[in-house]
Amino acid sequence: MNIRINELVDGRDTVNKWMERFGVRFGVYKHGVFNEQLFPFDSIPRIIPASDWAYLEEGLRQRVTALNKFLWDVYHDKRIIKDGVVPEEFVYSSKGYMPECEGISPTGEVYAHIAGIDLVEGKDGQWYVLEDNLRIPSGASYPMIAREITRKVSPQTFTQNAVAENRDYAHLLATMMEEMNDGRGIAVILTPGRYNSAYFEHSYFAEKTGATLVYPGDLFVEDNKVYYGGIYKEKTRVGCIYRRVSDEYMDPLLFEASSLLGIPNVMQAYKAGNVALINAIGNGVADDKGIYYFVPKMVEYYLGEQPILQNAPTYLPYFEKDRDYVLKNIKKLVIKDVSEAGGYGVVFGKDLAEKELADLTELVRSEPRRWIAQEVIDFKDLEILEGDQTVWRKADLRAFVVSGKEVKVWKSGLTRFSRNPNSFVVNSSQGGGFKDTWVMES
Amino acid sequence: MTQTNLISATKANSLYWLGRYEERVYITLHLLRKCYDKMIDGELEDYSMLWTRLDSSGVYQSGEEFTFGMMYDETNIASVMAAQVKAKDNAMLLREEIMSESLSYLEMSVALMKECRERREMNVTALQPVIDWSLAFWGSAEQRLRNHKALYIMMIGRNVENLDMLLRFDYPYERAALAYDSLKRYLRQMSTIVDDHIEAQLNSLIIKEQFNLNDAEYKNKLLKFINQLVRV
Repeated sequence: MNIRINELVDGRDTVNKWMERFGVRFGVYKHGVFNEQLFPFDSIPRIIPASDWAYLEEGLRQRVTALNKFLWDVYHDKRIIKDGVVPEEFVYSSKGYMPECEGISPTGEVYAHIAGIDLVEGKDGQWYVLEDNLRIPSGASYPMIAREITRKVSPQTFTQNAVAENRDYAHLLATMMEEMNDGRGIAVILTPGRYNSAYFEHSYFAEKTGATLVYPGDLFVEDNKVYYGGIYKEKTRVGCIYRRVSDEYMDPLLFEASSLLGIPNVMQAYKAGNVALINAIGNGVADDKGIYYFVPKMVEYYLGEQPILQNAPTYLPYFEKDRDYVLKNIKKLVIKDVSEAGGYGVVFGKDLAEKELADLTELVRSEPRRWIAQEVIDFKDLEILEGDQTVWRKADLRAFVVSGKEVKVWKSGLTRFSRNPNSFVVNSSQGGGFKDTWVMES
Repeated sequence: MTQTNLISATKANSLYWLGRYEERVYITLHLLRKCYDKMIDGELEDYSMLWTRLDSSGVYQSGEEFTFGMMYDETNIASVMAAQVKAKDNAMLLREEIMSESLSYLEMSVALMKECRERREMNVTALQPVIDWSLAFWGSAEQRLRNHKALYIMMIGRNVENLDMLLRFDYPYERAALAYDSLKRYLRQMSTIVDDHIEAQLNSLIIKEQFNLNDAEYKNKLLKFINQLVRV
């Protein structure tokens, strides 16, 4: 593979100017104050050879298909629990399990319409899944707009390299939304508003898909149907809501009563099959860090296939054997609190002082369901430009899988990197940057 | 994708205020240039007229402080910066209507003004690109807004602000009448958001025989009606 990216690297200041020009930002709340900042972009792309991608694509499609089947099963027949593959404690004690969703059948039986699967590549070239994000995975807009800009700034780079198009993500989204809409009305993107950390993404997707961007208060329910209201009191039927509002805020009459972000009675309309919610409510039960352990088993159970993608070696202190291993080896493991997200609640045993280690050991003993432990994967560092220097930093890949009538894997992804040389944490909320992800055509 | 021409109250509000604030940026810069020109030959502190008529909230001790404050002080509601940030904030809520290209002109203006503030740039000509981008913004938004109603609401905001500023700065009847005619062209397209009673009052006040901005009561009445004309 002969990759030529010099022009792109030389044009990095111009790329960043364009990012500023298009308002490519994300918001962060620090000490209760909202700040918007540019998402640091690194011009050197992550490059995934076609052969690697073929493997990832097949594995991602398989994994998300199994996860969707699991979600259907959990809220309907519960076969996987009855058959003892997943212990019921892990399902019903999960914060993401929503009893209100029992028996609800979403359009096309799809729950995770947009799945963001976080992977890392080990130094030996082996890919591992670190996390499944099935609620409101964000981030696809950044490589999309980065590609739009880098193609402007350095067209030569793209004539010299056979990179798969990634701007078709909007088309994938729009097609899936129309399939879920099923001719009922219009498709909308519901944003919590301007001060949401991913607001740029909400508005950019609306622009690129042609969906209507709606704010809390714009939608209402009448006769179990959802409508978008206009200034003249007129209304139009809504058939599909790509909601960027968390489950618990979606319907104040059923969930968090103080929520001003949701739509009163939307769950009634959803239950009646009059509106599609993207993603479905209740998906949190399948992307729970504890449930993650069981995903390879789900693949075998539902699809009768061997899992293509591997999990990072994971231990559940809930099981006595695993707990013993974790307690003996806690210093070399990474311990994750299953109820946290966004890179929070993740500690490396090797970084803890004696007292902290003792406290954590006690917590693992007393609340085993709360934790998972993983071997630290020595994942591949990627080249990052820091001033005029090239440095090496940890990076992951969030791959996006869009499920409508078919399951489609987007030929790109969000590569996030840590800007701290000693850190494995790549989350943007903790100062990480991003790269474009090039999937090579040949 | 199935689309609608319907405009929600949230968007109507943003469109109207985007129009108003962006027009304010343009006019305030124009007035600032005129004011500086006067200050060259007159007193350096000869800015009070501008300051008072814009209902400026800034307190400035010198011509220099005034200049800097009127350009960049975000806490002063009359400053160019405050209006530009508010225009951009409203435009951000309308990205899918006006498209990223139109929004980008306002993003660039805010970024340039922040750079100028950083280096304490006092020469108003440094902000000439803000005027150029403002004009580019209007052209771009007009071309890209697929929903005509959205365009009309934004243009109503723009024309309301234009008329408001002309009245504040005692422009002659001919200019005010022309601006009001322009506003009415858009109001006719969106009659349901217009207060008929107030429009009738304005029609009876903006006539040559009545027009007298030296009469404070008349002027205040006009300004009040202009600002209450549209319900969004």
